[in-house]
Amino acid sequence: MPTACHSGQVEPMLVTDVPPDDTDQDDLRRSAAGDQLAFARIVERHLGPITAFAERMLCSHAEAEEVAQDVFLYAWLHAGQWKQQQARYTTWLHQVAISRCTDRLRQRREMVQDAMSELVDPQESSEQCLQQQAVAHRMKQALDTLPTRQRAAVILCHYQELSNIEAALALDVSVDALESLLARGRRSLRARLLVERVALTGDLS
Amino acid sequence: MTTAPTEMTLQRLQALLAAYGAKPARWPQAERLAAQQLLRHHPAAAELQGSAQALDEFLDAWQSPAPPSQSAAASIMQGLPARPVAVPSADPLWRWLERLMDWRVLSPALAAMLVAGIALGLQLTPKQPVDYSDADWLSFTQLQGSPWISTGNRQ
Repeated sequence: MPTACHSGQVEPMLVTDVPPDDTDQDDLRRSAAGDQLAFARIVERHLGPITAFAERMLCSHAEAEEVAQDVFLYAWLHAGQWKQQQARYTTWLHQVAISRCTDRLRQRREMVQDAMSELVDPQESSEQCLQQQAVAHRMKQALDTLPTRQRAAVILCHYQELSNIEAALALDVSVDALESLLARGRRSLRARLLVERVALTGDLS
Repeated sequence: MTTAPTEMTLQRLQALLAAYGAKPARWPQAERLAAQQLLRHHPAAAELQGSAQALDEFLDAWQSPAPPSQSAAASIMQGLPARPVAVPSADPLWRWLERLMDWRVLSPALAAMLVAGIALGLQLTPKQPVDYSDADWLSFTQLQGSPWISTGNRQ
């Protein structure tokens, strides 16, 4: 199993039932030898999903880009340590991103609250857009109340579409523990959101 | 992951819906088929799925964040150290030797060897100087009876 410490090293993963992803292997080998062009291709493939994950965790696009920069710097420095048979490369990148986001959430909780209040874009003016934004805004607020690991579990499985095994690896927990995190997270969200459903969704539902 | 047939119960389906939501694509691959079959044949299971669907709709309302800015990738590449990083050897034995030669491993080992060497040296050092006069006398008296030694009183 991988070991993700929230403030430092993220050890390579040790599982056998996750199919290897060949897409990155050649570029990773070249990156390990210092080939920046090969690493640029890795960045191009994974920057979008990693930034999206960090943005959902932190509710801040600017912070998400900083996290992505940290993640890929770490990936560059540890490119030679990656082992093909252990897990998909994207799972490991998510694991590093979780570690970085957790550090930031721990240190900057009040800054996240400020950022969330700015997420509804006043430029969008149609009623449908405003209503959808209100639902999304409430969704973000509800997610932000979840403990970090429950939140990460919901984001990994629902938005990032990692399999249960990959999400468990990224969170460094068993699949049973992942299901527990997901069930508790979704139960809390349901309790917070479904009572407001009619008022919030209106025409959307 | 293999897709071995799994026995599915209403209780397990409820757990799947509670954890992964209503969309079968998010369910564990090994249990997906059995869960879908149960859904088709069990009205109560369909009700449970409908309940999970409501929360999924809320989650889906938060659409994908904006893609990273165009300068983000360039910024990452510019921030990389230019010096190539070390490439580990493919040979496991050589990798083990490389790890052994790491100063973090080597330094304590050398320090331990130094301490052990000093301790061994102290154990082997004689506590009192040797008095060779007795040893010379004993050797000489033992040799007196020998035919190879002339005592001077032989007739």
